[in-house]
Amino acid sequence: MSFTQTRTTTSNHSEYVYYQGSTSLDHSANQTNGNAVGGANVALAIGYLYLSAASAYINYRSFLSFDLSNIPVCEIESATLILTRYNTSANDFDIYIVASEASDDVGTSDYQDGITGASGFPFTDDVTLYKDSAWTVGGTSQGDIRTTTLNSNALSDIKSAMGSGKFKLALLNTYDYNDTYTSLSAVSAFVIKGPMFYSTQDSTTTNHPQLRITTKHTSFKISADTSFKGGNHTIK
Amino acid sequence: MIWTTEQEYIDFAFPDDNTKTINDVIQLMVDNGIGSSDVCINILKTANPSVDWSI
Repeated sequence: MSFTQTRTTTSNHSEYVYYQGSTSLDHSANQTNGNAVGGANVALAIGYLYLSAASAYINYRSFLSFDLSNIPVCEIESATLILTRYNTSANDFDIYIVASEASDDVGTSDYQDGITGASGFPFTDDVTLYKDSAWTVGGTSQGDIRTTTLNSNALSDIKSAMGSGKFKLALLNTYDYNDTYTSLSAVSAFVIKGPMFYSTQDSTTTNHPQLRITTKHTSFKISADTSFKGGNHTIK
Repeated sequence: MIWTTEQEYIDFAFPDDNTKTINDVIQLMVDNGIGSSDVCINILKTANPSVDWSI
Protein backbone atom coordinates (compact mmCIF):
# COMPACT_ATOMS: atom_id res chain seq x y z
CA MET A 1 0.00 0.00 0.00
CA SER A 2 1.34 3.47 -0.80
CA PHE A 3 0.57 6.91 0.54
CA THR A 4 1.75 10.46 -0.06
CA GLN A 5 2.97 13.16 2.28
CA THR A 6 3.28 16.88 1.59
CA ARG A 7 5.92 19.12 3.11
CA THR A 8 6.31 22.85 2.54
CA THR A 9 9.77 24.37 2.91
CA THR A 10 10.33 28.12 3.10
CA SER A 11 13.28 29.50 1.17
CA ASN A 12 16.35 29.97 3.34
CA HIS A 13 17.56 32.78 1.06
CA SER A 14 16.33 34.56 -2.04
CA GLU A 15 17.80 37.65 -3.63
CA TYR A 16 18.29 39.27 -7.00
CA VAL A 17 21.42 40.28 -8.86
CA TYR A 18 21.40 43.00 -11.47
CA TYR A 19 23.65 44.54 -14.03
CA GLN A 20 23.29 48.23 -14.80
CA GLY A 21 24.80 49.43 -18.05
CA SER A 22 24.51 52.43 -20.32
CA THR A 23 24.40 50.68 -23.69
CA SER A 24 21.31 48.48 -24.04
CA LEU A 25 19.31 45.87 -22.17
CA ASP A 26 20.83 43.20 -24.40
CA HIS A 27 24.29 44.39 -23.42
CA SER A 28 23.34 44.31 -19.75
CA ALA A 29 22.08 40.75 -20.08
CA ASN A 30 25.28 39.74 -21.84
CA GLN A 31 27.57 40.22 -18.84
CA THR A 32 29.41 37.73 -16.70
CA ASN A 33 29.07 39.55 -13.39
CA GLY A 34 26.35 41.78 -12.04
CA ASN A 35 27.22 45.03 -10.32
CA ALA A 36 24.79 44.92 -7.41
CA VAL A 37 22.56 42.60 -5.41
CA GLY A 38 19.17 43.11 -3.82
CA GLY A 39 20.55 43.24 -0.29
CA ALA A 40 17.78 44.19 2.10
CA ASN A 41 15.22 44.64 -0.66
CA VAL A 42 12.01 42.82 0.19
CA ALA A 43 11.28 42.28 -3.50
CA LEU A 44 12.63 39.84 -6.05
CA ALA A 45 12.98 41.30 -9.54
CA ILE A 46 13.24 39.29 -12.74
CA GLY A 47 12.58 41.88 -15.41
CA TYR A 48 14.23 45.11 -16.37
CA LEU A 49 14.43 48.78 -15.47
CA TYR A 50 14.93 51.19 -18.33
CA LEU A 51 15.33 54.94 -18.19
CA SER A 52 16.02 56.11 -21.70
CA ALA A 53 17.09 59.68 -21.03
CA ALA A 54 19.27 58.54 -18.16
CA SER A 55 20.93 55.83 -20.26
CA ALA A 56 20.09 53.31 -17.57
CA TYR A 57 19.62 49.71 -18.69
CA ILE A 58 19.22 47.23 -15.84
CA ASN A 59 18.60 43.50 -16.19
CA TYR A 60 17.54 41.55 -13.09
CA ARG A 61 17.93 37.85 -12.23
CA SER A 62 16.64 36.26 -9.03
CA PHE A 63 18.11 33.32 -7.15
CA LEU A 64 16.21 31.18 -4.65
CA SER A 65 17.52 28.53 -2.28
CA PHE A 66 15.69 25.90 -0.24
CA ASP A 67 17.48 23.99 2.50
CA LEU A 68 16.29 20.39 2.29
CA SER A 69 18.94 18.89 4.55
CA ASN A 70 16.41 18.08 7.26
CA ILE A 71 14.11 16.18 4.93
CA PRO A 72 14.82 12.46 4.69
CA VAL A 73 15.54 11.12 1.22
CA CYS A 74 12.49 9.53 -0.35
CA GLU A 75 10.66 9.28 -3.64
CA ILE A 76 9.05 12.46 -4.90
CA GLU A 77 5.72 12.60 -6.61
CA SER A 78 5.60 16.33 -7.35
CA ALA A 79 7.03 19.70 -6.41
CA THR A 80 5.42 23.10 -6.57
CA LEU A 81 7.05 26.51 -6.37
CA ILE A 82 4.96 29.04 -4.44
CA LEU A 83 5.64 32.75 -4.79
CA THR A 84 3.80 35.80 -3.52
CA ARG A 85 3.46 38.74 -5.88
CA TYR A 86 5.09 42.00 -4.85
CA ASN A 87 3.75 44.06 -7.74
CA THR A 88 0.66 44.11 -9.87
CA SER A 89 0.51 42.32 -13.21
CA ALA A 90 0.36 45.60 -15.15
CA ASN A 91 3.82 45.12 -16.64
CA ASP A 92 4.04 41.33 -16.74
CA PHE A 93 5.82 39.04 -19.16
CA ASP A 94 6.74 35.37 -18.97
CA ILE A 95 9.60 34.05 -16.89
CA TYR A 96 11.69 30.88 -16.89
CA ILE A 97 12.68 28.70 -13.95
CA VAL A 98 16.14 27.15 -14.29
CA ALA A 99 18.63 25.24 -12.14
CA SER A 100 20.98 27.35 -10.07
CA GLU A 101 24.30 26.88 -8.34
CA ALA A 102 24.45 30.37 -6.87
CA SER A 103 26.41 30.98 -3.70
CA ASP A 104 24.46 30.73 -0.46
CA ASP A 105 24.61 34.49 0.14
CA VAL A 106 24.08 35.41 -3.56
CA GLY A 107 26.71 37.75 -4.94
CA THR A 108 27.34 39.73 -8.09
CA SER A 109 29.41 36.86 -9.51
CA ASP A 110 26.27 34.72 -9.50
CA TYR A 111 24.77 36.87 -12.26
CA GLN A 112 25.90 34.26 -14.81
CA ASP A 113 27.87 31.69 -12.83
CA GLY A 114 24.91 31.14 -10.52
CA ILE A 115 22.97 29.67 -13.43
CA THR A 116 23.86 26.01 -13.77
CA GLY A 117 25.38 25.29 -17.18
CA ALA A 118 25.73 28.91 -18.27
CA SER A 119 29.20 29.65 -19.60
CA GLY A 120 28.34 32.55 -21.85
CA PHE A 121 25.39 34.50 -23.22
CA PRO A 122 22.98 33.45 -24.52
CA PHE A 123 22.71 30.32 -22.40
CA THR A 124 19.34 29.12 -23.67
CA ASP A 125 20.68 25.73 -24.79
CA ASP A 126 22.96 25.22 -21.82
CA VAL A 127 20.75 25.57 -18.78
CA THR A 128 18.51 23.03 -17.08
CA LEU A 129 14.87 24.00 -17.08
CA TYR A 130 12.86 23.32 -13.96
CA LYS A 131 9.67 24.04 -15.87
CA ASP A 132 9.39 22.79 -19.43
CA SER A 133 8.09 26.05 -20.85
CA ALA A 134 7.82 29.68 -19.90
CA TRP A 135 5.70 30.49 -16.87
CA THR A 136 2.93 33.03 -17.30
CA VAL A 137 2.76 33.99 -13.66
CA GLY A 138 -0.78 35.30 -13.48
CA GLY A 139 -2.41 36.96 -10.55
CA THR A 140 -3.16 40.64 -10.60
CA SER A 141 -2.36 42.25 -7.28
CA GLN A 142 0.28 42.55 -4.62
CA GLY A 143 -0.06 39.65 -2.22
CA ASP A 144 -1.49 37.25 -4.78
CA ILE A 145 -0.03 33.78 -4.26
CA ARG A 146 1.13 32.11 -7.46
CA THR A 147 2.07 28.44 -7.85
CA THR A 148 3.62 26.36 -10.59
CA THR A 149 4.52 22.70 -10.84
CA LEU A 150 8.17 21.86 -11.45
CA ASN A 151 9.34 19.20 -13.92
CA SER A 152 11.30 15.95 -13.60
CA ASN A 153 14.65 17.79 -13.71
CA ALA A 154 13.64 19.61 -10.57
CA LEU A 155 12.37 16.45 -8.89
CA SER A 156 15.71 14.75 -9.51
CA ASP A 157 17.67 17.67 -8.07
CA ILE A 158 15.31 18.00 -5.12
CA LYS A 159 15.87 14.36 -4.29
CA SER A 160 19.63 14.88 -4.51
CA ALA A 161 19.40 17.76 -2.05
CA MET A 162 17.19 15.92 0.41
CA GLY A 163 18.97 15.00 3.61
CA SER A 164 22.14 16.81 2.71
CA GLY A 165 21.90 20.15 0.98
CA LYS A 166 20.09 22.94 -0.78
CA PHE A 167 17.87 23.01 -3.83
CA LYS A 168 18.50 26.19 -5.81
CA LEU A 169 16.77 27.77 -8.75
CA ALA A 170 16.99 30.96 -10.76
CA LEU A 171 14.22 33.07 -12.28
CA LEU A 172 14.95 34.72 -15.64
CA ASN A 173 12.72 36.85 -17.79
CA THR A 174 11.83 35.74 -21.30
CA TYR A 175 13.88 38.47 -23.02
CA ASP A 176 16.94 37.54 -21.00
CA TYR A 177 16.52 33.77 -21.33
CA ASN A 178 15.68 33.83 -25.04
CA ASP A 179 18.12 36.64 -25.88
CA THR A 180 15.36 38.73 -27.43
CA TYR A 181 15.89 42.09 -25.75
CA THR A 182 16.84 43.49 -29.15
CA SER A 183 13.28 42.96 -30.39
CA LEU A 184 11.70 44.53 -27.31
CA SER A 185 10.29 48.02 -27.38
CA ALA A 186 11.29 48.73 -23.82
CA VAL A 187 9.21 51.19 -21.85
CA SER A 188 11.08 53.92 -20.02
CA ALA A 189 9.80 54.37 -16.47
CA PHE A 190 10.79 54.47 -12.82
CA VAL A 191 9.31 50.98 -12.58
CA ILE A 192 10.81 47.52 -12.84
CA LYS A 193 8.96 45.76 -15.63
CA GLY A 194 8.03 42.11 -15.24
CA PRO A 195 6.63 40.17 -12.31
CA MET A 196 8.12 40.77 -8.88
CA PHE A 197 7.81 38.59 -5.79
CA TYR A 198 8.55 38.91 -2.10
CA SER A 199 12.05 37.87 -1.09
CA THR A 200 13.24 36.30 2.14
CA GLN A 201 14.13 39.80 3.32
CA ASP A 202 10.47 40.64 3.86
CA SER A 203 9.47 40.76 7.53
CA THR A 204 6.41 38.61 6.93
CA THR A 205 7.67 35.04 6.66
CA THR A 206 4.51 33.77 5.01
CA ASN A 207 5.35 35.96 2.01
CA HIS A 208 8.67 34.23 1.44
CA PRO A 209 9.14 31.82 -1.49
CA GLN A 210 8.10 28.29 -0.66
CA LEU A 211 8.64 24.83 -2.11
CA ARG A 212 5.90 22.27 -1.60
CA ILE A 213 7.09 18.69 -2.05
CA THR A 214 4.79 15.72 -2.21
CA THR A 215 6.62 12.53 -1.38
CA LYS A 216 5.39 8.99 -1.91
CA HIS A 217 5.91 6.11 0.45
CA THR A 218 5.12 2.46 0.59
CA SER A 219 3.65 0.97 3.72
CA PHE A 220 3.42 -2.67 4.65
CA LYS A 221 1.68 -4.59 7.36
CA ILE A 222 3.86 -6.29 9.92
CA SER A 223 2.66 -9.74 10.66
CA ALA A 224 1.29 -10.33 14.13
CA ASP A 225 3.93 -12.95 14.85
CA THR A 226 6.90 -10.79 13.87
CA SER A 227 9.45 -10.62 16.64
CA PHE A 228 12.55 -8.50 17.12
CA LYS A 229 15.43 -10.24 18.77
CA GLY A 230 18.09 -7.64 19.49
CA GLY A 231 19.91 -5.33 17.12
CA ASN A 232 18.87 -1.87 15.93
CA HIS A 233 15.62 -1.39 14.07
CA THR A 234 14.41 1.73 12.34
CA ILE A 235 10.76 2.00 11.44
CA LYS A 236 9.75 5.05 9.41
CA MET B 1 18.25 63.54 -25.34
CA ILE B 2 20.08 62.68 -22.17
CA TRP B 3 18.92 64.34 -18.97
CA THR B 4 21.47 66.73 -17.58
CA THR B 5 19.59 68.14 -14.59
CA GLU B 6 17.64 66.77 -11.65
CA GLN B 7 14.62 68.72 -12.82
CA GLU B 8 14.38 66.60 -15.96
CA TYR B 9 14.15 63.47 -13.83
CA ILE B 10 11.44 65.13 -11.74
CA ASP B 11 9.48 66.30 -14.79
CA PHE B 12 9.57 62.80 -16.26
CA ALA B 13 8.33 61.18 -13.06
CA PHE B 14 5.74 63.87 -12.27
CA PRO B 15 4.90 65.65 -15.53
CA ASP B 16 1.87 67.46 -14.13
CA ASP B 17 3.13 68.46 -10.71
CA ASN B 18 5.67 71.23 -10.25
CA THR B 19 5.77 70.82 -6.48
CA LYS B 20 7.77 67.61 -6.56
CA THR B 21 11.45 67.25 -5.76
CA ILE B 22 14.16 64.74 -6.53
CA ASN B 23 13.41 63.16 -3.16
CA ASP B 24 9.90 62.45 -4.41
CA VAL B 25 11.43 60.69 -7.41
CA ILE B 26 13.54 58.57 -5.08
CA GLN B 27 10.48 57.78 -2.95
CA LEU B 28 8.59 56.78 -6.09
CA MET B 29 11.38 54.37 -6.97
CA VAL B 30 11.41 52.97 -3.43
CA ASP B 31 7.62 52.54 -3.48
CA ASN B 32 7.92 50.67 -6.79
CA GLY B 33 10.22 48.10 -5.16
CA ILE B 34 13.39 49.15 -6.91
CA GLY B 35 15.22 49.18 -3.60
CA SER B 36 16.13 51.31 -0.64
CA SER B 37 16.69 55.03 -1.12
CA ASP B 38 20.43 54.41 -1.17
CA VAL B 39 20.01 51.83 -3.93
CA CYS B 40 17.80 54.15 -5.97
CA ILE B 41 20.17 57.09 -5.57
CA ASN B 42 23.04 54.88 -6.64
CA ILE B 43 21.15 53.79 -9.75
CA LEU B 44 20.56 57.41 -10.76
CA LYS B 45 24.09 58.57 -10.00
CA THR B 46 25.61 55.57 -11.77
CA ALA B 47 23.50 56.25 -14.84
CA ASN B 48 24.35 59.91 -15.04
CA PRO B 49 27.25 61.01 -12.84
CA SER B 50 27.57 64.35 -14.60
CA VAL B 51 24.29 65.67 -13.19
CA ASP B 52 24.78 68.07 -10.27
CA TRP B 53 22.93 65.84 -7.85
CA SER B 54 21.60 67.26 -4.59
CA ILE B 55 21.02 63.79 -3.17
